[in-house]
Amino acid sequence: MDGKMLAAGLDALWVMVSAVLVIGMQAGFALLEAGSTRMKNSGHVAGKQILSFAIASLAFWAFGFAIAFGEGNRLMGTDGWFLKGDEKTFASLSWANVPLALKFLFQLGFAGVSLAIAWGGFAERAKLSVYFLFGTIFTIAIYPVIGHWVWGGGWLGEIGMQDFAGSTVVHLQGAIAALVATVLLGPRIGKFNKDKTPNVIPGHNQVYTVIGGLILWIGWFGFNAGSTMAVGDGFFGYVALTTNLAAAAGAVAALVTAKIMVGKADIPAMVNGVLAALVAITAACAFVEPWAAVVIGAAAGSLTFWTSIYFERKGIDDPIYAFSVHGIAGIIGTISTGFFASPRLVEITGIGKAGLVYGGGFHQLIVQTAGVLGASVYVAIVSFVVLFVLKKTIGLRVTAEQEISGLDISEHGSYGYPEQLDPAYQPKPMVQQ
Amino acid sequence: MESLYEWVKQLEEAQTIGELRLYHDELARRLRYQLRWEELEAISEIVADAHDAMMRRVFCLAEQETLRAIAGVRPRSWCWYAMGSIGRREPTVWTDQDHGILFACAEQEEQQCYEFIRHMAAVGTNYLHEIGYPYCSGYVMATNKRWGQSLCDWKQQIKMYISGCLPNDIRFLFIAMDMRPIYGDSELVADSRRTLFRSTNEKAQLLRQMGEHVMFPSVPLGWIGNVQMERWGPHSGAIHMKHSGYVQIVNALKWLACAANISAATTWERWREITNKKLLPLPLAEEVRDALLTYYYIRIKYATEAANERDYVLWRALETNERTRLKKAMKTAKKLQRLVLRRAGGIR
Repeated sequence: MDGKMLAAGLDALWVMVSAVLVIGMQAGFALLEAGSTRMKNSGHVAGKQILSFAIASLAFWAFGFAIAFGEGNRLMGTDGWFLKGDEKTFASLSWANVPLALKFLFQLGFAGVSLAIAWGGFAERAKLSVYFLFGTIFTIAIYPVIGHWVWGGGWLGEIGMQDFAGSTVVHLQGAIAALVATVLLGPRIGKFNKDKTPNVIPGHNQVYTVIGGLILWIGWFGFNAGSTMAVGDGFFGYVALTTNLAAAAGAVAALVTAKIMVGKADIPAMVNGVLAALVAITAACAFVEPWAAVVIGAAAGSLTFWTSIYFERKGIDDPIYAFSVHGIAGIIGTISTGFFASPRLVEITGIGKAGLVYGGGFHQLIVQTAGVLGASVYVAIVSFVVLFVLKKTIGLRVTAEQEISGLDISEHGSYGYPEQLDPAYQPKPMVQQ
Repeated sequence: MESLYEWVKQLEEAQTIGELRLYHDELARRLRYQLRWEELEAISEIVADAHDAMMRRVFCLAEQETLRAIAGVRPRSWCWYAMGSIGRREPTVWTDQDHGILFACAEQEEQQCYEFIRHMAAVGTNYLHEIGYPYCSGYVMATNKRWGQSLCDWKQQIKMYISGCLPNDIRFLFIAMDMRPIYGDSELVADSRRTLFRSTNEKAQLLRQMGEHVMFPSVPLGWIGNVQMERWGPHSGAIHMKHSGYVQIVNALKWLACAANISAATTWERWREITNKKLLPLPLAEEVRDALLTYYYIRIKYATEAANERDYVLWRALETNERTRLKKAMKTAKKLQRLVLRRAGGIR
């Protein structure tokens, strides 16, 4: 085995490990979401994660990957359906020296994460059929289009948009879809009073939420560091470093912000702070110095706690704060490179220009902003049209009775916690002989 | 102001529960038009007098009713006392019931006297409810054995609280420190309060734990001076007026009074004696005075507007100068809490 083959093998192994880490994030989402929602919906919320990834796998294999990375125009790929094609068909990924199957698996992990984020806005009240239909359309007509714009040879990539692992491509997209869904679905029963004041609907298991957060944190090393898709120069280690620093700053900043704003060091707020920081550093991890990673992570962790309260006061019931954590943080992260992209790292990655802080002028800031706006508008319009049509045809929401009974029993016929919720398992009163 | 004084005098002549109910409603109406910063101290005195007068009339009617019902035996000495904001003479218009009865009698008559007291307490509590005093959610009422008992049992109970030092014991001691006679043998209650302060003052361990109690609830003012409003529920965007520094200041003054063996029952008396004895730095004492007036003004102003939700005030409903004053008052409450904690023995 020569050195070249060894390098290729190591690259392939690294991408495989990273793909597994990213796909493993589905477990993190399952725990995070289930823990953050009510017991009566827990089986549904966790279980739909498998359904979601299964739908994404099939749709992305058949059409999504081709639209994102296949040869085509500046707006979408038009070749490479069902992964059929040669090196030229998927030229946008030719910079990675690994087999196509691995490229697909790794990119599939991203598509699955984006879809998982979108489901946050549907939680606890959407019909199961909506998951099938919207999940398929999102993976074919929404996610891959933005993926193509930035990573597949599209117009945003051409103007030098810096989004290393997908603050916009993966997270902002999922978050915008979640926001559109939560607005069209309306709030959960009991979330708001008649005078529009919000009520707390606490998640049923904070430990699940924390473990889910930790699994995602670990998975993010595959997400960001894995996006180097190579081990030769060791740059993946640097990306992992900035990723971890941001997450740590996000945790501390969110907890401190919660303490300042509401007087309590709120644990779910800390978990969301970690995630917001990770979302934000996703775009910037390869472009910014460690100190900037701390600043970006802290800003995202802190600001998203504030926005989660703000949106709630404005009457938006986003059950697991998907838009704040992935949307607002996605915007912060994407725009952050316009300020903090360092010339040294821009040279290494070869994407875009240095940020404002390093004397790079406003160019990169404008590019990043254009990217955020372009992606947001596209995802918002398509998501709205799709969900609006679904609402008017099959309906998005379960009936009030089903919602009150819980989606476990109404959609799946069994409870996630039968001993606690199923009357059949309740202890029978003792009859005195 | 003169008309209010006259009005309180008329109130003392009320003969029925129905009349008293009308007077209570009238108090809210009159205050709405007379509330001014510059006359706040005088107004607070009149409001306290009005409540005292209403309660006195209720207790008198309850006593007459009990005598008519021939329930048990009337003790040779007894007193109906107030606690809470009425005990401290700082009530707003609408306040819930916080009261108790203390009695002394011959040992062999005790059970029959209890029968009399229980009957009277039940009647008085219902009457108070009828004229607009909600039942106390914490059950601090004479109908509760804890707050309606013989002097002998009372002494035993206080001794238990003092030696117990459990969180509930400390809470009950703080409540009992506000006992102020309203109707009956006032010396019975005043003497019991003095004994309570003296006994508490002698126990360093208890004082330290009481100092820690003053730290809670924490004042909802963030490190950057932001007000922490209710986040969820029907009071979202509001602040709980009692928990926003007011109760913390009241308890801190109570603790300082206790540590210096000042057995005064009302907050203003405590403040005056603490200030006269220079137990607080003068600037802080002045800040505390301003804070108390601020809390009183906002509590009474907004309580007259909403009888049912009187503890919560929407932050955005406050005027700009009220917000500024309230924030300053909250800072003072935090400062006072820290001072008490330092004096009580620091953080463990």
